[in-house]
Amino acid sequence: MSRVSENSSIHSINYAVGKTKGRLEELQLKGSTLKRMNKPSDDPVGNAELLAIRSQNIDAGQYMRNINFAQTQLAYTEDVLEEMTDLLSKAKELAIGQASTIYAPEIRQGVAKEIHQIRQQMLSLSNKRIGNRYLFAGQKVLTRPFDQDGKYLGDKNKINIEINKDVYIPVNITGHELFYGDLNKKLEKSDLDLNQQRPDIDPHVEIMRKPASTETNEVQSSVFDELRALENAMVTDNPQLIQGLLERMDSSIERMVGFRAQVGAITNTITNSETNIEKTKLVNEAQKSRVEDADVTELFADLQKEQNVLKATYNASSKLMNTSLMDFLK
Amino acid sequence: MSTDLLNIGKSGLFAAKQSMSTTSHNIANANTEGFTKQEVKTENAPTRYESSYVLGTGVDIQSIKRSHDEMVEKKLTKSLSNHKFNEERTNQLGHIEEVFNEVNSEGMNKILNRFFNSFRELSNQPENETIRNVVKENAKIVVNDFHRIRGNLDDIRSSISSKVTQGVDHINLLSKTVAKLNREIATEEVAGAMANDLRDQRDIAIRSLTEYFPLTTYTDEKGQYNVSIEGVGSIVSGGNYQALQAGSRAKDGNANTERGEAEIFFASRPTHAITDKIKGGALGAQLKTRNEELTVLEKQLDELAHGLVLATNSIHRRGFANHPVPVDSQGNPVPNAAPQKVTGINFFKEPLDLNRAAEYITLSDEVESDANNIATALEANKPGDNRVALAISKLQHEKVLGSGTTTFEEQYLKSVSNIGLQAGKSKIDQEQSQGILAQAKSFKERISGVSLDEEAANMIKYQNAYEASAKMIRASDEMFKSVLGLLP
Repeated sequence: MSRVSENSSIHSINYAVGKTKGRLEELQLKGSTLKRMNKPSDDPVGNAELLAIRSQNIDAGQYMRNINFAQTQLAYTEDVLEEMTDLLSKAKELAIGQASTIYAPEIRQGVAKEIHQIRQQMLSLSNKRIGNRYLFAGQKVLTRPFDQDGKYLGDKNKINIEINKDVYIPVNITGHELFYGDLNKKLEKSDLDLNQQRPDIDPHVEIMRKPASTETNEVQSSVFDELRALENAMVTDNPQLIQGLLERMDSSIERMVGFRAQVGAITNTITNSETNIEKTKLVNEAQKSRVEDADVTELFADLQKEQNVLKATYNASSKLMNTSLMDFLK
Repeated sequence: MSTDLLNIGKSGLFAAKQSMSTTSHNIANANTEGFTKQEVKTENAPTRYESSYVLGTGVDIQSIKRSHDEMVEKKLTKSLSNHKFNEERTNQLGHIEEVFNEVNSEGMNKILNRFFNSFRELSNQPENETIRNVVKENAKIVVNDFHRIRGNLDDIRSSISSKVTQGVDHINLLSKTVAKLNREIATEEVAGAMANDLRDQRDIAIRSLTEYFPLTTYTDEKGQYNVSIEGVGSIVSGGNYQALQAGSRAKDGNANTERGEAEIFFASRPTHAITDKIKGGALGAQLKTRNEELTVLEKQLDELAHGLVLATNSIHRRGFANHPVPVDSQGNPVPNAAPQKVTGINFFKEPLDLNRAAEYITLSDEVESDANNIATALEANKPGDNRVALAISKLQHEKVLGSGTTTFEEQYLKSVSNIGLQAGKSKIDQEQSQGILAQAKSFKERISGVSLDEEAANMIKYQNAYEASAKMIRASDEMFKSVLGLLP
């Protein structure tokens, strides 16, 4: 026969009630947050996983913002490139028209004014900004890249942006690569030395060509130089020079079209990244929910079960506590 | 003959009365913590030899005994110190864990992540002052969170130390009580009686004492009661006790001590710390948590802060701040000619030491005073140059810590997982040891506890015995009277 003393039964009641209530409290916390995890010790590995996923999600959010920034930048660049191509094509058409000797010098004077206009428009396009950032200034984004003479004041650096983990894309085209032809195809120096071919200097057509690159003595011609040469050729009524410039202009147009294609390709890369990030986010969300969210059905079933256990404990305890031999000795 | 009858009746009356008063003592103490049920042990009184037969002479009270089992008591004290260890450890680790808990709130991991992402945002528009200020604010949040975590860990550390100090005071009080009770029990038991209630009090004191550390108790051949801390040595020996002392000592190569915090030693031997030898009980849990988990976490946090500062600074110093730099005639920038420092700027203040780096981390004066001093460009005079900002944001995924084996996040998550694992484990241990303790307690109560039902039955038994003995006396009185009545 085992002896049961007052304290031993009270102890066991306390222990049983305490244990059940403890479990119930934990379940209630889970029920109120609907999370199966409320502190690291609930699932140390899951906690680390959860925090890592959250980090990835924050990263993804930032990459998306970077993507938006890059997209704006590139879309704007593409628009400007399109306008520039149109302008150049127009200039080329005019040049083709004037390349033969059939037109009178007076007409060429008129066309010269038109070319001048085109050059001015080109200049203003080359100095386009988004906000306060110049599009074509390289990394010197706050410096106006082209002065009135078409001299490039920016640098040759690309701006790279991270659009996904370890994926960097350039978001700018430098004024240098866009407006200066490559070194193999540069104009003859004499073509550009317009002062020699012009008897008098038109005040409209101030020519102060200087080589863009002071480091090397090579002369690179910019689109602005070409337009100026064209204008001068019109003014000086020089169909040969016009004819000679046509090829240069073709290559400039080609170059711009080439950059447009490049911008398009980069935009595609960005779109791909965007899709990838969205996919990763979805996978992450699913995983995050698996790690941190409580299984609601199971949770409430458990909650119900524990409540029943508690009730049963109370019932059993009340039976035990309310009976005493004293009751029967009266 | 009649005197015999009277005497036997009287002895029965006495025994019943004594049993009754013991029953009453038991009932009165039914809810007294640590009370052990007492029983009156009786035996038949020495017999008397008549010529050809042996006559009983009544009942003798042999002793009043505690219903006590040494083994059960030892099992109880053992499971008590074990449970107290787990309970205190769960408690302390819970505090620590809460410092690192960012399941439902902000925490270092998120904050560090945002810091790096703000550099990524800045790489889009390095010339943008608003974003520069965002970076600065995010860096400040990082700094504050390092301070918060370090401060909280320090608070926990000092609260543990003050608990240890208070605990030692209480321990000394208890040792003193045990020694005093030892003397009183010895005095009281000289005649051979059992000092039941004093022994109960001593058991209570021992149980309080074993909440602090595991104990062994034994009675030596001279009948002296000894108490010693497991793995350390004797603290009570008969009527004498050894006081413990907690306090800062000059460090003697003990790597676990920081800022001369509470070490434990015998007051009589202040040069020999016993801190590391205490392996259980609440005191053991406090010391283990302080000297192991807290120390490791603080070190890891310091490494994190230190690594972050060094890595960020080493890149940041190479960059140029958002200020114009004068150029020479060749157009080359001359940073030295600028009115203020434009390159070689630290982002965070360079730490002096790895130790407590998380406490001392702060923004450099340059960055603190002007967000334009955040270097983003690799070349001077290029406000759109974002290469340095990109490189700093890339630190997020670089394995810079642990000599190139882990990223900041991995290192931090390792710390958090570790404390989570320890806290989870100690919680399970606690549940288990609580079960074992409850079992030991109920085992002990079954033997030593008061059962009111039993006492009620005894009450009736002894009442009846008393009545019967009283009747016996009356009967013998009447018998005596009837003999007297024969006389004229």
